[in-house]
Amino acid sequence: MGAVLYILLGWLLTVLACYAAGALLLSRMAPLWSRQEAVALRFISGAGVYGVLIFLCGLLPIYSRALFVAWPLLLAAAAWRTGAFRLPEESLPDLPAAHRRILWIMAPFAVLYLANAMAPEVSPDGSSYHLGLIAKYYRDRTLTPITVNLYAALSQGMEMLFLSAFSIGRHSASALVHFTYLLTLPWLLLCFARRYAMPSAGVAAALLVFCSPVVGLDGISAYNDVAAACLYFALFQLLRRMEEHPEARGLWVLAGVLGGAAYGLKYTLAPALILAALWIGWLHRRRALCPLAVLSASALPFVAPWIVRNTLWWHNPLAPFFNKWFPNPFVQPWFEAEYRLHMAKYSLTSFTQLPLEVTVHGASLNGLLGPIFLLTPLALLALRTREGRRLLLAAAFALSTYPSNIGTRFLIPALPFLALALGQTLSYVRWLPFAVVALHAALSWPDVIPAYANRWAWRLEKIVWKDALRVRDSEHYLVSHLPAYPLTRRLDELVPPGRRILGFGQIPEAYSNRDYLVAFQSAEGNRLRDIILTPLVLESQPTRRVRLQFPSTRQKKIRIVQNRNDPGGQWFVTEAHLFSGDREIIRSPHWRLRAQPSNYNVQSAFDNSFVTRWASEEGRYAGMFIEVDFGENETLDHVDLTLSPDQPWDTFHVEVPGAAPASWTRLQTQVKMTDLVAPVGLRRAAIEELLLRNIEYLITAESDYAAADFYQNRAIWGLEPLAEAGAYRLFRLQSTAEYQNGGKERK
Amino acid sequence: MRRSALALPLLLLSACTPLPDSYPVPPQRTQGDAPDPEPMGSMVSFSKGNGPQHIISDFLNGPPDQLWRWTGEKPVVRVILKDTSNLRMRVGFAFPDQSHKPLLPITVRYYVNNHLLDTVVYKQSGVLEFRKAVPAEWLQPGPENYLGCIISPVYVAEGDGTKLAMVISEIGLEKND
Repeated sequence: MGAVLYILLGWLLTVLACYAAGALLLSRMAPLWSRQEAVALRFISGAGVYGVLIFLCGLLPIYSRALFVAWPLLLAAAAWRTGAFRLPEESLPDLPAAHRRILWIMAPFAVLYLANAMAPEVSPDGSSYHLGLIAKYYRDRTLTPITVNLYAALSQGMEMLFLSAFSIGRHSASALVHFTYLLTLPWLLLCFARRYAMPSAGVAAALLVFCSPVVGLDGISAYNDVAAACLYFALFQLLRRMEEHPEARGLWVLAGVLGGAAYGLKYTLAPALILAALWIGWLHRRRALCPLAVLSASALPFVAPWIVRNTLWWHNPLAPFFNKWFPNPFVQPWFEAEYRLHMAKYSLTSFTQLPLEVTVHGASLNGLLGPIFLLTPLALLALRTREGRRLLLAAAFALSTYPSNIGTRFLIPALPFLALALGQTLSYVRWLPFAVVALHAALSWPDVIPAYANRWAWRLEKIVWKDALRVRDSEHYLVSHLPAYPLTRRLDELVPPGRRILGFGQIPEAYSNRDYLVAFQSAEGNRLRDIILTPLVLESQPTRRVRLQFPSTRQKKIRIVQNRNDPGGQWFVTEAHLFSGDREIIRSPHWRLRAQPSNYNVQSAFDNSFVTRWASEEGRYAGMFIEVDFGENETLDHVDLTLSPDQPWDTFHVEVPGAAPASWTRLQTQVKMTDLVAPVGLRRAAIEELLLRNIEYLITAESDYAAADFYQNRAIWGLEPLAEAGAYRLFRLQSTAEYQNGGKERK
Repeated sequence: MRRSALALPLLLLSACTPLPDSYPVPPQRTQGDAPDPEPMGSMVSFSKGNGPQHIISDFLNGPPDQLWRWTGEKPVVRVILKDTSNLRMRVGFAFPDQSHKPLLPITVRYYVNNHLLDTVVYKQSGVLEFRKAVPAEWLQPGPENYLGCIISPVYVAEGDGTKLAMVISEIGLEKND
């Protein structure tokens, strides 16, 4: 029961901090909102403020439980002392009694959601990176620069709140913070409906959104999509209010706070800030400069932390995206392109599958909105009304980033607008909204979903009180929901602190105190994967030699230039050796190496390793080069490139400095290609290379490429199996000395 | 504590150092002298654990110690050949009674490097084997030899719709003794 108290304490203190910070902020402005709206606005705006506060604290090594207990109490005390907790006088008109009664449909869902939010956190992303990252910050007591996980480069406004709750109540407390947004969202919708006299539409929208299976599941997890929807809608509500009070400076400020906090919460919410700017511009037309300046200045403190952090740590203010604009060693442009492609398609074979996938099936796109949302096109009929046009405009903005990730949960920010517009349409027939929401609620209940959805649909299963109240051991719940959990839990026991573990897929790293590096989540991880798979992938092995022969010349610098344009694929060079006749020009410590692009990786072509290779990392274009500056004049007449065979059509030439400064002259180059036999010893060479890069442990899953080879040929690799749980194995990479002694000498 | 508190913002700023314009030659690796086992051969045998590195497409994943694999309708493997003369294709496979009996007859077309080697219509389920000599001119020394089958009809698993065409334990080229 002690665990439950900590969970509740972590949750409630974090919510208190948000509410108090928001109350303090709103108390500085003229109250243009009702008491009902104030409650929601305080929490939502205060969450943004508290998030920035936690971010700033992370610049010093002071993250601790005491800090996250102290902040809420201090903020609450300040709000209490200044009277900021007092609610405004205005109260919104009551909903009709019949409408209030229909809202009771929410009750069983609220119970379902609360139980699942309190149960151990088992969402795929929540248990891996959302909470895995903040667990690391908490261990390190500061915002540790993490450049081996692209998700650490996203804005982390929500994660800051998770961190506060996590410090006290661990994983479930963090999930409950998101659950608070899940409760706030229908409240906001009802407030809007009450203010603008659309009770039926408001009640319908609140129920459509709240009961939607994907909204419920997302909202009880350590995710951020429901919070995103809350922020978006709260901002819209303010903008709508701004039409009635265009000169109210407080509304400009608050719109900036919410717009900035939206960016700080999730990149895909950036259009919210654009919407606010356009709205203000439209309202004020030629006098828009002042309100726009206020909006920007208010948003800045919430946007800047993430941009500055990414500029400093990732060399890219918009990391992990736009890596072609901001080249950096942490995320490769080719990976970004593939990642974007995947997120824009998932496993769909045709976009005609999309409507049924996001509403009914729920497997391919991870979650379902509920079959009733097939009626969404009817929302367009709301264009006939003033409110409807505004709602659909906001929905269009919220949907503008959806094509970049078509997962169902990325529709959640647009859902409140669409649901309200749909509710408005349905309200033309008096009983229809209620019939539709009743049907929606029935179809969204966990016991009913299997009757129509895909059996692999991402969804809630049942009310789990025993797990929520920890009557049953948490381990049981975690093991039954997270296949990699048993092995993850053993990492603390088997891997000493500070050692790095490489794996090919996500594990629930939030439940471990060790540093786990997922291969696909960073440039470093992708390179490590390339190294360890080279012994098994013929296309990656150095089995081709290209000799670039040119008239003997004496030069201080030389460039090897690739001639072909091909945006797909990459130019790889495993090794580059330079010769004068039969004599190889010995690589000297005085040499300087450059490459264009992917300069930071150029050493891989000059390290005498057959398992590392330089990669252009952003397709091929004529003129990309590798350059060697000898530091003094050298005579040479050919270059041997050792290449993998996956680039058979590439052609090359050699350039040397020209007469004019910074110019290069093309040498007459003859190209001769020879096939080589793959070198032996690649498996061990790969392990040695990983050890040099401070990887000492490896986790494989049964479904990983070549997982069987790691186990069956473990003696050849030099891999010591340490543990096996379900489909997962943990290996320790044997040191060179151990390997040479047949694995007997263990340091 | 106070000193470290002051140092941290400075450390943050130092992270802003631009990337170098050029790099020195890195430490040179020595190539490992441990021999790899023959990474691939001419026969793929899941019972001997050398299957995964041969698979090109359409085999379902299985645990490392599984002696066979389910395939989809167009499984393809790659084999290495040193000598291309006097070889035959051999496939050890099964059509499980429970799933495949209702599908009979099942037609399997065997391909070697995109040449149709044979078309066999199977009228019985259970453990089966295919053997047939392969013209040497279809083959080439080295790793670029592809063997595949096209199976029709296939069993479609209820629920997730996975296509299960046949269970393969061995597939490859061997001496035609």
